[in-house]
Amino acid sequence: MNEALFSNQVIVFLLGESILFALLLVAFVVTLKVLVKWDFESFTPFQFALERQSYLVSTIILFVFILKFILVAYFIFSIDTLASLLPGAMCGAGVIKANDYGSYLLILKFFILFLLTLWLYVHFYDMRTKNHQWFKHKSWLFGLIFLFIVLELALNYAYFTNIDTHMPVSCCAALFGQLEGANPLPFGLSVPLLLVLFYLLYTLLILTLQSGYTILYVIANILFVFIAYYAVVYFFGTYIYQLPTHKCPFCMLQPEYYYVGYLLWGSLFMGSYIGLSDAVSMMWLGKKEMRSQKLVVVLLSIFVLLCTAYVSGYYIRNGVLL
Amino acid sequence: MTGNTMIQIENLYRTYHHEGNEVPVLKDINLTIEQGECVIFKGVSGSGKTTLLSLIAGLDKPSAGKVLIEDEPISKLPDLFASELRAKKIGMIFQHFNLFEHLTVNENVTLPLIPSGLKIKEIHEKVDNALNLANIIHKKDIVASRLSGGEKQRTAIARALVADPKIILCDEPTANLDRDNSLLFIDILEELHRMEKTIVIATHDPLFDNLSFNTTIVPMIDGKIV
Amino acid sequence: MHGLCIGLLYQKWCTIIDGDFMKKLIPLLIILTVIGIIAVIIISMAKDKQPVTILKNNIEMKALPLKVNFTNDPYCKMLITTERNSVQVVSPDGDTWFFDDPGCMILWIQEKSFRDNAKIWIHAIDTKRWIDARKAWYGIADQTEMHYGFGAREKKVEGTIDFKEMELRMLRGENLANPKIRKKLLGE
Repeated sequence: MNEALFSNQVIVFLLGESILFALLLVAFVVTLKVLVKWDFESFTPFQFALERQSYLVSTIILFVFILKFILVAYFIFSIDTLASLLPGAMCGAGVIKANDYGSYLLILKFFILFLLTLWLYVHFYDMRTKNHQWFKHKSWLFGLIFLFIVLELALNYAYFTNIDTHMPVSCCAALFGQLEGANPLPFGLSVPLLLVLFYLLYTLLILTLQSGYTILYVIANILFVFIAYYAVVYFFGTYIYQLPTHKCPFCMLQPEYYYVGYLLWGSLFMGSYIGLSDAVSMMWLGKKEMRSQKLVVVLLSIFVLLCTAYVSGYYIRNGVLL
Repeated sequence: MTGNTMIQIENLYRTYHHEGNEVPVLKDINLTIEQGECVIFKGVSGSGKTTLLSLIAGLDKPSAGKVLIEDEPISKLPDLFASELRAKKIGMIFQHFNLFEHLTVNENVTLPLIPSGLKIKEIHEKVDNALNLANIIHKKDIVASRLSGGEKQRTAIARALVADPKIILCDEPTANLDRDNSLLFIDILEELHRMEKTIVIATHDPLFDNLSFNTTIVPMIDGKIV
Repeated sequence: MHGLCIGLLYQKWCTIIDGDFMKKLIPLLIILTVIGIIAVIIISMAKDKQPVTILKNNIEMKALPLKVNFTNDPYCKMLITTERNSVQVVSPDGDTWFFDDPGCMILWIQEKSFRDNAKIWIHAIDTKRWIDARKAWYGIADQTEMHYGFGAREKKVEGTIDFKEMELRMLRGENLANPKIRKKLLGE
């Protein structure tokens, strides 16, 4: 029997995903029906009924999408707890690599979260128009998201049913440890140049947010997330663990590090998602300016300050760097 | 009357669903109300007068048909915009007054202007004007729970007028008043009519049958205009 | 508390950047930052290439030149510092991996699905050229990088074993890395 599949966390997670999927399935079917017959200029009983249904469906989708954010956090928590069941796994990193589905599932979940945030923005704008101007945009976007969620559900089950608790997995040291002489950083960066790039990109993000260069902001944000991941794993994380050889994005989610990983990754991803969704919806819907600049600045600043604080705190206490 | 259309109703239906049954409350209402006109919906209880008034105010959505206020369709307006419309263009006077009993007359009348963004001085001016018009200024600092029925109704009138709306909707305004206060109310209506406000009243009070100023009586039976 | 500090700092920042001077300065700052970012990336990419572990597109499955000191052994993770006795495995897809010792290659290739279809080249210690590893002859007490003791030769000499035998001995642990075998063969 697959012990991982029948652990409490996994059962709760899969049940939660399945229930949310069922709700979204209903929403999808109704949305298709409404989309096909939608004519806002009509005042017939049928159109009024469609509008009531679309309001109901939007409410369901909004509710489910908000819960999806919580479920992703719970997914990460669950795979972290599964580490104790898998030989060789010290944290979620090993559990994710327990089979071929894990990495794809994680990437897909993060991609879906971005699409959910985008839908929330389009929905927000749509509900503030007199004639549901962006109803069709919102509905097509939901249709696309639903397809990815179908894939995600299949991957969820495939992943958890294929975890072999007798097969050893790699720990994070093997997964993220540097090969002798080999450089895992992108663009052939060294760690000092990685940090320079990290702070330069953060500066560019703040400047472009304030001055309205939206396309440049989008590019900078995507690049920042990419570089920030490496910066956290290969530099800042070592100061969280206070061990120069400990390079892992998952271990910082554990209680011995005060769950700081949730705040760290949460502020990075939420800041990026909100900013990107705001920018994309602004360009897509023809809006004049972004709404969430302050929130994005605050979230990303929390992320950068937290990373910097660990390094400076270590230096202040010990007088040296790792 | 200036002859501009203020309210237009086209093919309006409202059907409620109760225990699996459909209950049609309004059936194919078509009506045009000009600016400055005073229209009285007359009918017995259950004829659909209050429902029609709710649809004109944007408080409810129809099952079919259009309601236009100054050529703007409002029957599909989201609540956000419907509230904005009511704040700017419509004043409502209810059968049971709907005052905040624990607030004073002045406070009750000030409330609608709070989200308006006006300066405090302007708000005070408008409130005093409304209280004067409704002849209740002498009671401005009295808590609403201590007012008589007629005084409450005049407070409600002042509240409905404070934002200087173009449309006044009255739902059974004299149902809880004695004859003297009802006549006082009608006097205020006449003053509003002189100010070219568009007035729509839903009532079954026979006092409204023969008013001294120009009114249009619209009889309603079973959700239809007769 | 942190949120309050950040909020106050942000308000101060907004006051500063709303000024006319800053409105003119910001585009310049953006340009400088972008130039800085591009410069960092170009400088990093222009540096000497970092060691590689895998080479792609070797569809002909031939022996590729080994870049000494720039190639990693995927099994023991060591940098390959000499061509002598080194191994390369080419999968049917054209992916090529390098190993510093045939023993590492044997242990690595066991779990690979293309094990039987892969082309294996080894740099013979006698002829000093790349030969088919499956046709090579292996000494059992040679000095090798990972001390397994199997040195490849193109020509059969006394005391050498074939590939199959070498593979079996590696998997059984009968190699110089095993102290008992080492004592038996070298008397150490």
